[in-house]
Amino acid sequence: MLEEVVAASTPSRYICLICRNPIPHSGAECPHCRSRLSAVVGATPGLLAAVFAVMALLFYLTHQFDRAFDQTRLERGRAHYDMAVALAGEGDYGQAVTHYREALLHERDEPRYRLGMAVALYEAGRYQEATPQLLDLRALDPTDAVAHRLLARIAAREGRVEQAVGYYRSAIYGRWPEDPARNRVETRFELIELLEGLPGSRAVNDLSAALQEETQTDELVRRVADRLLENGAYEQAAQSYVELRRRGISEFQVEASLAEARYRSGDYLSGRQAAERARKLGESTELAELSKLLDEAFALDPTRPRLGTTERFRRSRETLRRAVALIDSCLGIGGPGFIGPRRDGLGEVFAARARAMELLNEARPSDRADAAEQAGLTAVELWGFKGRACTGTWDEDDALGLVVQRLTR
Amino acid sequence: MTERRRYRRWRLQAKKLWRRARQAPAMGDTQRFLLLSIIIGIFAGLVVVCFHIAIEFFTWSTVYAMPHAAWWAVVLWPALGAGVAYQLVARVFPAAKGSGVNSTKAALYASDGYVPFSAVTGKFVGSTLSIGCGNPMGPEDPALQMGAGIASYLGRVFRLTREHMRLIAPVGAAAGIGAAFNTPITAVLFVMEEVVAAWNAGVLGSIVLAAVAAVVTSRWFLGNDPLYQVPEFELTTALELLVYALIGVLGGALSAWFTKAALATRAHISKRPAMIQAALPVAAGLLVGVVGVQMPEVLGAGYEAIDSALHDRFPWEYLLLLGGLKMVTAGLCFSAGTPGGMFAPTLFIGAMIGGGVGGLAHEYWPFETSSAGAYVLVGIGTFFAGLFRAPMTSIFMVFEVSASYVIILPVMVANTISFLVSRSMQHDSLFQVVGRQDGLDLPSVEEQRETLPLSVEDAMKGEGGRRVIPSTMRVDDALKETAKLEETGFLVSVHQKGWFWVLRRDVEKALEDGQGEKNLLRAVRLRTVVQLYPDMALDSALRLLGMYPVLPVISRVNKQRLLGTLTLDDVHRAYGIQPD
Repeated sequence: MLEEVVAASTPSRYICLICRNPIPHSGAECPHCRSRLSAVVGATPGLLAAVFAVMALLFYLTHQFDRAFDQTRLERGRAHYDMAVALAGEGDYGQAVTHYREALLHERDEPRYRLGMAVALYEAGRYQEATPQLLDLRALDPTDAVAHRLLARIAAREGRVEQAVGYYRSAIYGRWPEDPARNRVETRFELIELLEGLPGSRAVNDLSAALQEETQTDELVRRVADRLLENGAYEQAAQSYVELRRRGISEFQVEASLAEARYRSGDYLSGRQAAERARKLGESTELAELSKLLDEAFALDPTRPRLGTTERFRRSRETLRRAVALIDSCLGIGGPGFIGPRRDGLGEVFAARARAMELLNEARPSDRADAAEQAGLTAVELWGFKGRACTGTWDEDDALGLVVQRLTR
Repeated sequence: MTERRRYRRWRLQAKKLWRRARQAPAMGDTQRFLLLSIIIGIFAGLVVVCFHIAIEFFTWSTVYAMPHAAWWAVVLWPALGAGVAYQLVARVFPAAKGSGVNSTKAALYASDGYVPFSAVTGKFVGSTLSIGCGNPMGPEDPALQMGAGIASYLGRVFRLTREHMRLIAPVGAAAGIGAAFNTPITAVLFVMEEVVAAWNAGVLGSIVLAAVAAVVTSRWFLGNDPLYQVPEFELTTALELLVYALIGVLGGALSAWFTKAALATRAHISKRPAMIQAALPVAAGLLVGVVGVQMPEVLGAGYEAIDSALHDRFPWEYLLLLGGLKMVTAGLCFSAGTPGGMFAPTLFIGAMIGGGVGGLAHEYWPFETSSAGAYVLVGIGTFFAGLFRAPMTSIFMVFEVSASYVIILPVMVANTISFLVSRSMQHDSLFQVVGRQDGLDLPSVEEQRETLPLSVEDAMKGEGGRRVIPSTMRVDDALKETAKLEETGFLVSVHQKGWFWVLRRDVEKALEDGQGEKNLLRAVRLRTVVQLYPDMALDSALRLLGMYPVLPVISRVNKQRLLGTLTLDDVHRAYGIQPD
């Protein structure tokens, strides 16, 4: 077609571009102005029109071809992706990876496909292969939380703890494609689990951050409280359990955990109250043991209000007696083969014990209130020597410990 | 009624406009050539897009289907594709046979820009079948020839002058390669470095226009994504450059070896009967298939494999194995005449060698090194630089693909070393030796580029070598002084004004007129003379010597200083022609 158009529009003559006089052929010297710049008269617009028409036709055909190609490409990619998802759902991650790879060959910029493959590779235990995929995803979208979480898990598995912590933090503050609140919380707890294995109180800090930054659902508060309790942050744990109670949650586990948190933080009285509430809701061996301990401390405590002087004196003497017994147990006094102090630095301990024995031997002191106070102070002093004296085996006295804490305050 | 009148008026106006357009001298030859360059770029871009899509379509049914196909299907596809493509090219499209670069060069130097259109069709069909079925060849060289073919056809349609027709094929070649590789700078440099060898502003402008138009068209359809997703690159320590240099040495040595091996294999094949020659692409395809069963990365152009290597997805042993196998399979296919180009395979081989050496260094090098991916990126151009002897193209190609400035230093080191090592081991480039083997004695662009032309200073007679007469000399004295000179005149120096030409007959006439006692400045007509500089090409000076028998050569920094003179005899002597 183009040839015909060309034939029809063949230039009849050439002219000089400068003076516009006719010249014999293109590039020939103009006889008038000696210029060699020539132009074709008439034919170029027709020819150009024909060429542009052919170009437009080819453009249209290429567009159609490209559209068909794109459609097929996307369909094939999607088919492979669907197959991969199904296989991954069945746990066949090896085959799923093959299909994800095929899907990516058809659409390499689709992050869903790449993420799917990374997850499948991770699940298949092919961490080395999963890492570059995840790094690609991270490069494509630095806020991709899913990729960061997987990278964190791989780093944690490979012992790169600090890098894992960084990835986890990026995941927590990153963009989640679905259910962001739940995913963020889950990731935070994964991070906390990792931090629990590290020295220091980094896990507790993150638990506190979880409470501050996330939506405080009952479930979250409960989980945070439990982890705080496990990590030794008893005061904070107790506060969280109280928060749960304030929200109207009256459950055996909450009350029992609160009792333990209170007991551990030294507030055995509140712990005892919580334990009593818990026992109304249910029963467990641990709770029974805790209740027994708290009752024992309650019966021993000379600092309780509304006690008479006689009773306070009696309890103080009993506390002192148990403190002496503990020290004796630690030092082996009264036991077979006891030959006196065998270690240096125990002089103060024996001196305190001697004072305690004096107080105990004084059956009727003139001032019972004063004697009660003296007994309490000596018990605290002896308890303070526990660390120095008790290096072997001894009979632990938890109830005494709780009372001494109260006395110390 | 009103509607009809309005329509008639519109038709009349359109006719008038059309008539005016037809009568107007549209544009000069140069403008037409530039406009045509853009049109060529768009056409080449469209055809290359279709070519790319056609290969992809084929690949889906063959290479991509291989993980789920029976092993014998994997083995048979490349052989089948190569066999059918070879027969099609041999019987239906003989113009599509051979290298696209050589065909374009032949159009430029031997056939006044003529590339038959059947070469476009043949390259399209043959290469689609061959590459689409998994043969380890690249689409760039066919795209280059398709671009040249389209350009040549459009040049004929537009009845370009002979000079422009000669240059039209390289313009199309740049468009084709630009669209195929999605890198306009690389396309321009490759054509200038490998085909044209002249930095003529007019040609460069057309080539740039065509390449840009083609890349824009290609990106319109295929998107802006680069060929490879390149990871971040950084040079860890300066000592790392030693590893890059080693990659360059290895790339250069292997490319020289590859050229020699391909040459020997082709020579061996050309002596076999036609039937065996026709069977060889099939045999090579079978070998490709056998390798592809275990290592599918070797199949096809291999862009995905390079991408994976860039992202450290292969261990170094595997990278070296892939590079070696690609070298063997691509070399065999190329020698056997399987349609397709060598552009992509060279990138693949270079990338794998680079990655392999880099991975090895990463493991055993006593200093800190980058990841293997960085070495893959640098290695991409080394084999290319050695094989095609286009160091500038190879450097800018990696630069353009990576869009990283940091990479330029290692790439320059590796590619230049590769180029020098390859040249020391094998004098000519692959295209040149293959062309010569096919009976095409095309000029070596590399030699053309490096041949130093003679300059004026090589031929001129230095200061004092030839007598220059001062203008203050008396006419009779001047005549006596120049009596022994053979030339029709002599040079005269005028204080503060420079040098002039004086004809002996003018001096004689002045003497006859009784002006013998006057000085030359007053008595004789001084003619202006062209002045030369010592660094000017002798060829340019030669053209002027027709008008002036003696030309002064002056200093560029001090125009009053005469450095020497030049005559036709001096030029002859410089070119080794002894004067009678």
